[in-house]
This record gives sequence, C-alpha cells and structure tokens, in this order.
Amino acid sequence: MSLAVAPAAATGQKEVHPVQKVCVIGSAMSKFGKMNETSRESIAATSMKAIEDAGIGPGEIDASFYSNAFGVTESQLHIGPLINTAIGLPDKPSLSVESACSSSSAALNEAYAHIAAGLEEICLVAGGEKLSHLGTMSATTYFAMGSDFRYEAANGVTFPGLYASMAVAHMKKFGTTQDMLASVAIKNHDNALKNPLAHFHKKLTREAYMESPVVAYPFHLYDCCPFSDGAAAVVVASEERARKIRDEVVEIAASERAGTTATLQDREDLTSIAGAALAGDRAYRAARIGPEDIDVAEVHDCFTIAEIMATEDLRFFGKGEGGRAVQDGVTRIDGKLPVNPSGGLKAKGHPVSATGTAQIHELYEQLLGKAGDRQVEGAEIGLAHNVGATGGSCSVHILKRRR
Amino acid sequence: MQEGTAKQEDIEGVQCTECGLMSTTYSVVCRRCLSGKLVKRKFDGRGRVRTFTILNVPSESFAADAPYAYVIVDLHEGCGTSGWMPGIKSAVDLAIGDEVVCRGRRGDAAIFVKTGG
Repeated sequence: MSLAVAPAAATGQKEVHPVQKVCVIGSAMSKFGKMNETSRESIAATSMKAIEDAGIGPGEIDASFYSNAFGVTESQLHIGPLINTAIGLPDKPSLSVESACSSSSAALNEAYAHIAAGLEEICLVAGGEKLSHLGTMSATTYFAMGSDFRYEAANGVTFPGLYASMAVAHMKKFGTTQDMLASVAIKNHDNALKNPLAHFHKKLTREAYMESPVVAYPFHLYDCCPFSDGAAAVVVASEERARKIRDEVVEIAASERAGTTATLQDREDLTSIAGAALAGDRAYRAARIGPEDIDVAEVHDCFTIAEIMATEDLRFFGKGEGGRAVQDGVTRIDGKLPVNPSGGLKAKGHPVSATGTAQIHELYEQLLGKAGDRQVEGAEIGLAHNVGATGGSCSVHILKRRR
Repeated sequence: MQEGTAKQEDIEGVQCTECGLMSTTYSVVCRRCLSGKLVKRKFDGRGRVRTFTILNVPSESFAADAPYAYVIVDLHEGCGTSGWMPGIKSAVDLAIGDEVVCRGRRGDAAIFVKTGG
C-alpha cells in the first residue's frame, strides 16, 4: 500500500534545490483555553518565550511571519508591526498570513522558503487567536466565513456541519461508526491530561460522549474541537546558523502545501481531503521517507472524522481503515503510531492561527525528548498535518532530529 | 425573504463547452480541462442527496430555523450543488440517495424538499 517515495510526476512536484537546510531552534506555546490577554499580547509574549527557548536575542531575528485570522473580531488588522514593535524589532519586515485554520503552518512555509532560498537566516513564526469574547453563536458565524460562504454558509451549514457531512459520507462508504468517532475524542482527551498547556484536562468516557448534545448529526459536542484562545511560536534558522546556536537541531525535512477544490459540492470524493494527501506525498518525497518512517504525528483533528481522514490521507492506514485503527489503540501514545499526543485540536484546543505552530511546538518537544508524560519513546521523525477550512489549504511538515 | 412556492426552481451555473463539466460554483476556467469557454446555463433542480448533516446548532442567520438539514445534491443533469432542507429534524427523516427537488430560495439558500416518498 505505501510507496516509500512517491514519484515526482504523481505529486506535481518540481525539483527544488534549497540553498540552505532549515531547522527549528526554539518554540513555545501559551496555555490554551480562555485568556484575558489580547491576541497581540499573547502572540508577543509567546514569541519572546520561543526566542528565549532558541537561546538568542530578538535582535537576531531577520524577518517575522504572523497569523491572527480572526483579528478583525478584536478590531485589529495588520498585527505584524505591533508584535515586532512589542518585541523590539520595529524595523524588521513582518508578514501576516491568513489561511483559515492552517494560517500559521502556511506562515511557517513562507519562513521556510525565505531561509531555504538564502534570503534570511533566522525567522520568527507565530500565530494566535482570541475567540472567547465572541460566544458560541457568534464564533460559529465567524468560522462559517471560512467556508464558501455563497454556497455553504448561505445554505445554513456551519463548520461542524461541513465535516459532519463528510462523516456521513465516510460512514456510508466505509462503515465507520459512532464508536470510532468517539475513540478519537477519548484518546485525545486522555493525551491532553498529560499536557499542562491543553485547554481540557478532563477524562472523557464513552457515556459522557454519547450523552453530550448532538451539534450537527452525527457529531455530538465531543466530536468538535473547542473555541480556544492562545498562541504558539517557533524560531527557524538556516542549518549553518542553527549549528552555531545549538548542539542538537531539528531539521524541517519537508515543508509542503497543496490545495483541494474549495467547495464540497464540487469534490469527487467527500471521504478524503485530496490536498492533504497531495501535500503528504510531496512531503514524503521531499524528506525521502515514507509513512512507515513516521514516529509521531500531530494531525488536524478539528472534528473526530478529520483525524480519521487525516490518518488515511497520510497513508498511515488504508482508505477506510482509520476508524478501526483508532478503535484498536494503534494511535495511542503507547501504540504503534502515536497521533496527537498533545491532545490535538480536539482537547489541547484550537486557537485557529496558533494551531499550525502549536503542532510544530509539540513535535519539537517530542523529538528533543522534552514532552514529559506524553513523550513518545524514541521519536526521531515527526509529521504535522494542518488543514485550512475543509481542506482548501493543506500543509504537511516533516521534522527530523539531527544529531 | 419569502420562501419560494414554485413547484420546481432552476439552479444557475456554468458548463464547459470543451469537456462538458458542469458547476454551480462561480468559476471562469474549467477546473477539469482548464478551458476558458464556459457558458452560463440553468439546471433543473431535481437530484439525489449525496450527503447531508442536520444542524442543531446553527449560525446566526439560521438561528430561528434549527434543526434543519444541509445537503449536497447530485443534480440529475450531472452537477453537484448545495441546499437547505428546513423541517428535516433528525437523521430518520433523510438518507443518502433520497430524491429531492429545489423548491425556491431564501436569500442565497436553495430550499430543497424530498419528492416521491
């Protein structure tokens, strides 16, 4: 089933020749959940923690890439210069990157490109969001703006509804069950218990899952990630600079993005996110590895079905086998292929623009053996899968520990 | 914002004159063959449910309508589209494969109802 290295033609990939390899040298995330600070304050403070984690000073940052997709709800756009100024970099270029829920992984891809091309040596990538001031109905409405509003939100569907309609198709085609969906939520809540920065620290039972209200059939409340506040940041550097700063580095072995036909009504297959599969295949090829080489994965489980589809799109499991795999415990922290040891979007939380960089933060900690109680033993290669909206934008990053 | 009462409402879209692909989504180039020769056309609003969900927690502009269904419909003429099915309150009321027809509009929402049992 798995192809060690996908042929270039199959992924539409161009041969690229980076001038520099790119490494992660520092990362941080705030506590996810409800915060009193603004996005601006949270992103700035978390950026400073990442810079300190890297063991450098802010003056060494050449350029910064920020995401704050819902900044308009705090009456603030163009947040980059505000953060740069707050951390002492008023003269450095900043770029705001919006790509719905994949905003900060798209921002990371920009930073990666700048360093790989030799344009910069050290970049800061940070994303954050504040959503708790909105209330559920208002937040649901803002989120729906990330869909194809004219054809989707205008017909009454919300984000849970869009993924629920994919779940209905997946259940019909593959026999995926409610219990399999519940297994994703229960696993990720278990993992979040071991993550001090997670939004939820609450064990989820099958009974509590089934008794929770139905939000969008077949999704119960516990199939859905929460609206969270928070921020996450990473510092990336050329390998040459990284080697001078740190003894042990984590290389970004692949930073790939792809798209999917934007509107669900136009997709041939509603049980898969084609752009995620494509970005995954491109990433495996760029890193010269296959899915069987991944030790730990952080995937975009905005809804339970999304984790199941992700593990199939990334070819960890065959098509239609993702539900059974999670039910059988294969993706637990002590399983054969741990998925979302952080608790995932589902239980760690999903401050939209923080999610992409938070996944990288988790992998960085895992690969350096600093993940505490949720440490995946011997993790050397990690994969992050981040999806914008229903997959119109997809990012896959592969990180490799280099000694 | 009156709900339509006509028996069947046409749905507007485009068709590629090169490869024949039909779409109700705004587009200027055919996403299959990349031809720029798209012509506007109307589709008969009859089709079959490809997938659906039932919203108990709606967005603001549908707050007074929940629960209701959102459907993706394969129109019989060979094109996918999206619709709103007010009055569908649970999964007992709807299944993949059910025959539906567009009965009108409320704003940009295309109102679909089940036909023939």
